[in-house]
Amino acid sequence: MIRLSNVKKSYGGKEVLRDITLEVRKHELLCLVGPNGAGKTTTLNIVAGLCRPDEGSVIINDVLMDGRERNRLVHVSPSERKVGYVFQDYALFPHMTVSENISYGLKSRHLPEQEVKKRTHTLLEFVRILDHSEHYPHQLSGGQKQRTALARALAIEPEILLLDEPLAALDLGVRKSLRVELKKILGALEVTSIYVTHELTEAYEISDRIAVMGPGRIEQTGSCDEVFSRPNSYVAQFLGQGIHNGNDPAN
Amino acid sequence: MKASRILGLSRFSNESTSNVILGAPSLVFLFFIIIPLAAVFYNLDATKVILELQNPQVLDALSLGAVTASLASFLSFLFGVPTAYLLATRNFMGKSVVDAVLDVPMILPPAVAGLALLLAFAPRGLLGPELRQLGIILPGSTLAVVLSQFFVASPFILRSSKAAFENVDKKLVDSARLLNPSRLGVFLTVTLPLAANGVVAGFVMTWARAIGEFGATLMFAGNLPGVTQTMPLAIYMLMAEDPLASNVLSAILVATSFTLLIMFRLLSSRKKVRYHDQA
Repeated sequence: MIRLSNVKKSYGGKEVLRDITLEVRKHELLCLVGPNGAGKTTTLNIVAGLCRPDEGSVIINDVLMDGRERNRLVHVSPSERKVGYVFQDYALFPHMTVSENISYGLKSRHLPEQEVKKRTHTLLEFVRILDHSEHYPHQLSGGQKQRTALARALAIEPEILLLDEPLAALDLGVRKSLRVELKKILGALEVTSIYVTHELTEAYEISDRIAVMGPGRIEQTGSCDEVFSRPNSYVAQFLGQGIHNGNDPAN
Repeated sequence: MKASRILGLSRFSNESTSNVILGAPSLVFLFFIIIPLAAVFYNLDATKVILELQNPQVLDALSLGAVTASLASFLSFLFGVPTAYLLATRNFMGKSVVDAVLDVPMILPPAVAGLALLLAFAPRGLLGPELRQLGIILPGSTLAVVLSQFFVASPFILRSSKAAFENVDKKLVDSARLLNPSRLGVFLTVTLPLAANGVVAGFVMTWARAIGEFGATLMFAGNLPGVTQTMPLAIYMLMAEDPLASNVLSAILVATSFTLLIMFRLLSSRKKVRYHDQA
């Protein structure tokens, strides 16, 4: 479970997050949908602990990660949050092979070598990238990079999985088939996830619930059917643009 | 094309005319650099080089130069790399001032740098009495050579490393921070390897600058054969009494610099091929 309460964040005087309150239930996949610049990535970075909120609190599985406890400011470091993060352009380490990328988190936690090998192999098989395990990221296709990034994030057995537009860097042609595949993989995992996208079709197909973000705030939260059939005024306008761009979720 | 059309020169603006217009100054420029370099090697043959390599003063200058330049580069690495990382990743009050001050040695005339070092660290200088109490007298010592080279050459590794650290994609560091509990671990496994080419290139440039250092060394350390006389000082001193020795030393320096420059270029281009080919 992830709970953000009244989270605010400014960069250089510009309010990026005005007041974010959001709950993601245990083992659910919540899609965070919204236009570019709404603050979706910043929200993920705050959950991951990569940046600190100016105000408000972040709770993951009943543990306070950011906020105040008895007047003390709390900040749990990113590596202690058990968060897996798939970045928008995957951010694979360019100087490491696929297999080194995936085992990085395990080695950094000083797991026994045998265990590291075993788990890396399982993950390589799980995301079907075994044939490319000794390749470097620049030798991979977009889809292979994406699966490597996913495996790297899953290696540390995270309780929370954050995905920032995991399909945006791919060609339109392969996007649809990879979406189906990604859904299958995510469905097999017992993990609480936030999935950021600006594509309504993607959100509709993949999510348990969605939250629509406007500039710096959450505009509406609910199941896909709820949000699409009874949108509030901001969401209606956003959906309207989506339909206008040929993104009609009803299709 | 466009500019010539505006100037009404369109009938001259075919490809070959512009090639000549651009090529002529480039050619003159190139020859102005190449001719003196070639002249250094013109009078030399293997027997002369081998003969001079038995001259103790030449040998001393060679080994002293190589050792002091290596020590100065090592010092620059030791202080320059952490400082570069600090400047590239942290914000603090007066950062731009610190940044500018650390660049000063690069634009300071070396003779002035040498005089400044004297005024600061010579026995009668600002910190002279303290150093004397510790039994350290710098002018006339090999340590002074190292310090002169360090003072003048350190900005190269600082600049190059800072740019390299700034160029490391923040998302890669963020990914590592999520996976690796140790901050030092993140630095050693991700940040430093990704910045390594820039740091090594900076080291190479620092070494090249240090081995060629003349002005500051002459002013601060002096010109004692075997103790403070590095290659450039020997070249200058031997010019009158033993022009051949001076010539051989110059040739060695030219060859060394050229090798270093090629290394530097290879390092810079390898980075592009390996890491920026990620589309």
